[in-house]
Amino acid sequence: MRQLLAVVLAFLFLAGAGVQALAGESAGGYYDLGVFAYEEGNFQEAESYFKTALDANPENPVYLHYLGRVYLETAQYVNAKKYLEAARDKDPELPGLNYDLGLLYYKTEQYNMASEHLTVAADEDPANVLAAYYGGICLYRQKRFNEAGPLFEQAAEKSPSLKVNSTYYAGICDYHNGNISAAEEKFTYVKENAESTIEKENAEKWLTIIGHEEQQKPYALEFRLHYLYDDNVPLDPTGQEAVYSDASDSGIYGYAMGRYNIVNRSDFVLGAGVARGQTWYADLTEFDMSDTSADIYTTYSTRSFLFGLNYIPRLYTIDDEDYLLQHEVRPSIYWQPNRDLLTRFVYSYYAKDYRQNDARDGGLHDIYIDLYYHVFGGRGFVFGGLGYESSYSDDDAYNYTRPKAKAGLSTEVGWRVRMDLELYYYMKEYPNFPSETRDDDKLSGIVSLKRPVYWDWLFAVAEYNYTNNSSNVDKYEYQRNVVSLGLEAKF
Amino acid sequence: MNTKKYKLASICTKVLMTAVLLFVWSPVVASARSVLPEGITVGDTFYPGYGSPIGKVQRVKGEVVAVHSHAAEQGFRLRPGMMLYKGDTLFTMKKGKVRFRMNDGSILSLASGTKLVLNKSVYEKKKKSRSSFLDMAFGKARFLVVKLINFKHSEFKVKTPTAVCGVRGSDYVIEASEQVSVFIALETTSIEVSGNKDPKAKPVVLNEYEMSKVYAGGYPSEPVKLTPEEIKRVKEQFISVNPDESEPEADEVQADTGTETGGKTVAMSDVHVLVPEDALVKMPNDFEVGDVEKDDIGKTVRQSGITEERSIISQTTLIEQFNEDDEWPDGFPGSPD
Repeated sequence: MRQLLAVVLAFLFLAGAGVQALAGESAGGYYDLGVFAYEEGNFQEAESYFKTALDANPENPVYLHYLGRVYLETAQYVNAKKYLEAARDKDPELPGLNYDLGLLYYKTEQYNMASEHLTVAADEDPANVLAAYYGGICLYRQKRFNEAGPLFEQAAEKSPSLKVNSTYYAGICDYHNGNISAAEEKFTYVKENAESTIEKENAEKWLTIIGHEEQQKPYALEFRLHYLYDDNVPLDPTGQEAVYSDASDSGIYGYAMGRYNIVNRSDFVLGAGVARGQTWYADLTEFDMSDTSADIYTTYSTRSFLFGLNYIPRLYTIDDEDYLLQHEVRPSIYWQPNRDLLTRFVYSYYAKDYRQNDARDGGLHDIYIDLYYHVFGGRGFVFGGLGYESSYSDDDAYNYTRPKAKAGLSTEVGWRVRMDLELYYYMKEYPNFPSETRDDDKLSGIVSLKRPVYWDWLFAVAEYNYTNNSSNVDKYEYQRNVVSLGLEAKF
Repeated sequence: MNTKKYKLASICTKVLMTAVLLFVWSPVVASARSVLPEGITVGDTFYPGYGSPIGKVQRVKGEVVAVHSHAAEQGFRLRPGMMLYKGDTLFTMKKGKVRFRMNDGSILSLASGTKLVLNKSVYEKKKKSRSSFLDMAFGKARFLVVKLINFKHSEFKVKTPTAVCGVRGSDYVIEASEQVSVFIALETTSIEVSGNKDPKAKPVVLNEYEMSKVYAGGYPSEPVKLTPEEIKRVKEQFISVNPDESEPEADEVQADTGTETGGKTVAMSDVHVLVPEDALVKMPNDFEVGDVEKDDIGKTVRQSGITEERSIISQTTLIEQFNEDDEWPDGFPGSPD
């Protein structure tokens, strides 16, 4: 009986194997006709053949790949994804599969995945210029210019029909990577060899941009004139007996600045400038202030870094009397790893000479680390920073420390209006304050709207500033709201 | 008696098959056909097709025309050394013959009055993969297909109007027309033939010097053995496929820069690749110079002045200090009088 069972099982096994083999052979015939139909562009017919082949052999990665290609050609991307990814799961080494997957992800705007597959495809087959080209486009759209540039160059080198277009994109990558001379060379080539007007114009625009960079304007002039309303000019304490019967006032704020670069190279700048700001109040004239400064500066920039050094003497007056003369020395380092991210480290030392209170004379150390990052596709940026001040005076009672933080957003909001939102937070501590330690927490917020009017150099500006200072000493608590409207001119 | 009848029947069958073969291979059949479709302009200037080349012309006799798939109305006469591309259609005119080498090293030789489409030829040595698909509408062709040892995936398929033939490495001949396709396996060859009507049917296997025919809508006939004379007659219609036989005959078309000979695969590394114009990603034309300059965050931030303390903030700090001076607790050291 057992022998009979063994014979039956053996027969069934062999029969099964035979059916499998037959299925494989019959599927092959449909596959062959499917490939011919596909190559002739008869995608409907090809789909039918490949489906029949897959019915007989559903695990065959070549059949899955081809059916996926049919769906890719006919823009049925959901199905294409299903079959191409199934083919990859069975055999990731299938010739052409990386390119097809890359193309699928490119067409469905999944640029990160697309670039992964296309760069592999371009590497596997250097003659596949479209793999290199589309790989470059995907990386370009992710702003991965360092990686995109070589792919565009590879495509341009191997394909005359891609040469102009690919060189154009390679030039943009060079520009973003800081290789300005290489970018200029490429845009010049495009300008001279492009057949269409658009291509020529685009190349010319980029050459203009590069020209601006190479010939940086050596001077800058700026003027501001604001009308302002301030509801607490003297910073009268909140909920305390007011020092002034009416702390609110309106006024005018004026500002003028000019500077000139004596040395004006693209990588090295040395210059000097002067600035003066002045506030005049209508009634509370004892709080009229001015701020007069000079600035001697130098910068040295490399591809990603900018090193700066400023010396800024500054004199403040209040009610037409000198109040503070300070000398600031400010070394700074800017690091910009790409077009979207900027970090800044700045240290300032201030030597302070208070003209009406010698006990306050002393110095201040100030460090700040900022970070700025593009948002909204480059239309704006967010920023944040942390800083620390340590002030010392001839009399220790005036010494203080002040950790601080800031955050904000600057973006275009339409109609050429630029909006800035800024928040500042300060924690000030006087460790040697008479009788007790004084702790202040100050929060300040600014909303600013600015848009050009009539000319590109003239701007209308509206600003609102809110400040709230809370303190463990009641008389130092205050709130202040300032609104201003004005015009600014920049040359 | 039965043995005599059997021998007689066998002789009759062979005679009949030979007659059919001689009829089928008669040059009259091919020359009677108008090979080149109407509307195709033929010139002598070569222009490359799209993508990488998949083959290279080695020898040409008479007039042979190639048409790229993307320019179906413009053909050019082939000369030795010219590249062949995916989708190319080759027409051998009356007395025209051509021999070319595919990128995998296989050699194809077309007799006169033939139309062959190079649908696909992918040869990836690193991935150990070869995939060639050719569509032979009519005419006669000899295929010396390179046998690729240890290749993971290897297919070389030729479709005719009535059948599909597949091999891994062989020397064989196909003659195709709308009505019938004839397949002949040559030295040390084994090929599989399937009728187009029924793809799921088991293919017929032809071994060395065997022949099979497939009529339209039919199945491949049982293999028939050919005599050495018949084989010789078949081979005579083609330029030799022997890779070492490179000396051109007196009536062959000469290459402009020498006849292309030798080597095993088509070198493509130094060849420029064309792509269709619609494959290009159009340059955006709506950007302004200022937009791009704003795109540099370093410039934007420095020009915005946002790194500098706003005057309203420094003013407030100044008034705070001013008030402290004024309101400092009485008797505090250093406070103003």
